[in-house]
Amino acid sequence: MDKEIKSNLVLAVVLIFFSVLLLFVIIPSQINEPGYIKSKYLSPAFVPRVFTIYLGFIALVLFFRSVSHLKKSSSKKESQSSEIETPTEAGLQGQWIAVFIWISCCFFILAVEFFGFLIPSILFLGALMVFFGQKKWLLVLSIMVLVPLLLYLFLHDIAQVQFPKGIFFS
Amino acid sequence: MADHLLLGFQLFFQWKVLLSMVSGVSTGIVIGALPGMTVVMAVSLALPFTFYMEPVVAISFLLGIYKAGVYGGSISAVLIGTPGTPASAATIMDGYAMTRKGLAKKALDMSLYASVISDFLSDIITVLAAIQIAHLALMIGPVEFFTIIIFSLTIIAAVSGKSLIKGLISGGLGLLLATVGMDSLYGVTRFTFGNINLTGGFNIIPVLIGLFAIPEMIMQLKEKKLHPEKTTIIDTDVVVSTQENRITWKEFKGVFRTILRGSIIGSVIGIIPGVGAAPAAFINYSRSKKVSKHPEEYGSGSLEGVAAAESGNNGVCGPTLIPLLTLGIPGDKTTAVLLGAFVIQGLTPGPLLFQKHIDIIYGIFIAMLVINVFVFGIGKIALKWAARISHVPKEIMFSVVFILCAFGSYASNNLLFDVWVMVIVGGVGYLMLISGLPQAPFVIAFILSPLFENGLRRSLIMSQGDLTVFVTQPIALAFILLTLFSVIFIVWGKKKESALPEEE
Repeated sequence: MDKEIKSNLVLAVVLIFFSVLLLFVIIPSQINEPGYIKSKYLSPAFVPRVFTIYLGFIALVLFFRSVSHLKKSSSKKESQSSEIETPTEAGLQGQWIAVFIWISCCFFILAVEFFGFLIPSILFLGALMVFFGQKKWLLVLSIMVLVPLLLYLFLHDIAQVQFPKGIFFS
Repeated sequence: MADHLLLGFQLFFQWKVLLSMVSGVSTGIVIGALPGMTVVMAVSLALPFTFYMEPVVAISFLLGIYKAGVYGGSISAVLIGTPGTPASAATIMDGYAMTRKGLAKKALDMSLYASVISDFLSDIITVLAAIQIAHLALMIGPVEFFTIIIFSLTIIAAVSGKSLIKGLISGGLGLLLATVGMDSLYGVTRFTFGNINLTGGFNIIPVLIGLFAIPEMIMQLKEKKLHPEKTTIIDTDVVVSTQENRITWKEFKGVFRTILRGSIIGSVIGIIPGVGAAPAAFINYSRSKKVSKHPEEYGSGSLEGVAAAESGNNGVCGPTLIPLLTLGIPGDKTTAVLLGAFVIQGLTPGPLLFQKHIDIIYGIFIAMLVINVFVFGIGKIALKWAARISHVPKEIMFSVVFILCAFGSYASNNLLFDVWVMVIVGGVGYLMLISGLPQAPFVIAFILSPLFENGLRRSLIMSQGDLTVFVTQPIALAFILLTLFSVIFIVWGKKKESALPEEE
């Protein structure tokens, strides 16, 4: 419970900061408001401003609610024996695995830029299946070749999708 | 009308029409089920094949792709938690939850029944009242349109899950993300940071895939690494019997009212140009949850939830054609492509089409109704095999899903940038998942944001900046009042909900 309140508090602070940044820095620098627009409602920055103010307001509500919940929870804790919440080893390991998967997806796209779609797809698909525990090599081999190849042929030859050839092959 | 029907039957009963419907429906189901491949893309790709076909054959072929494609999106939504098309984003909430409980076949069957019945009923509405309904569509101007979108945004509350505030935050982020790109009124770029790929804004396909498929892939593969003994996506160790995986007559009767409601809501949304199937699915989902006897089951594998989402999105298919056929106005991208198909055939949709080629119109109407039978038959055959996907080992299924998503994201716009968007939004989606921010409000807001902005600005141009225009038009005022009642009802309901544990 305490952990959730604290994570809500962090989320609220991040969003308030984000809203302020948007409102005073990003919107003025990223949206050019033509001088000939007389009504402020018709300005291209009007709707983004409204949405930003809305987001900031909701984040403020979350902030005050979290602070009040935190106060309540700490006063309850004083009367009870305190329990120290520590992240479990499996939880931490899980987050590292998540980061690893996400980064490997980014490397896959980088590889596509260099080698085109087909080869990185075959290799990445095979690597993912083996890394996450598939041991039947014949199954891995057939899936890693057939799925990207069939998709590539269908999209390239029937749907006329032009795939990047990759820097090394163009 | 009987004479016209007879003429229509003469045009319809040809082997070429039946063959075109079968091939259209089969193509539509396959393309709809592939994440990233949209119905618009499928219909556009099929358009050149219709050049040498007769009008009824050509339109039946394209309609088959359209209707089956909208339905097909639910297959991947149910089985892998990734919407095949944006229209099936709402189906994930309960469909995928059912798959994880080992009830994939039941969820798939329900999505098929709800889609076909709702589509059929809305087609009947289209056939019987096309011209009358078209006049209704003409009454919806920018002001009314804007208030309808405002009302639609209240759905966010219904799909917010445990925390309304987090749902509203998620919605706010979706609203903001959709403002990236060129402003539709003055052509001014917004939040592009000099990146030319952002000029057109974020493409909905990679955003949707990134938000739903990538976090699920990360979660499942992470789970597989930590607990290698859990081989498939099915959560429970309890074996679900074949009997439990079947929809009983009692269950079907229980959701029929929801399907009927979806058909009506879909029909109303369908005639309004520019709204589309995804908001219709969410509106019916939200409405059905409000009136359901078991609203607590929504989001955790409710059969009624699947029926609500699917009947809402498929209910749009028939009536979307009303503005096109009767007034010559394409309501969305798919009907714009269909308009092209009519023009290729030398036909100009509009009032004159009903006078000069009424036989073709009735031939198309009959085809519209019969296509549903084909969607049911071919869908039923496809589902027999599709349901087995839930038993595929996680490491195979989600690795293949990633490759499918990467190809799909790229193919949606022929841009590698979209694959980057998919992965980056996927990372954000994962962070949202672990911090308890629901994804559905984000998607609804992302879809409705451009409609909201266009409606607001067009209304204000018309009224020369006068904000009272939203309360002086009767239809607009009705929707503003509905929105207010809805908000009061939601806040009251949430207060009551949060007070319950304290009372206990």
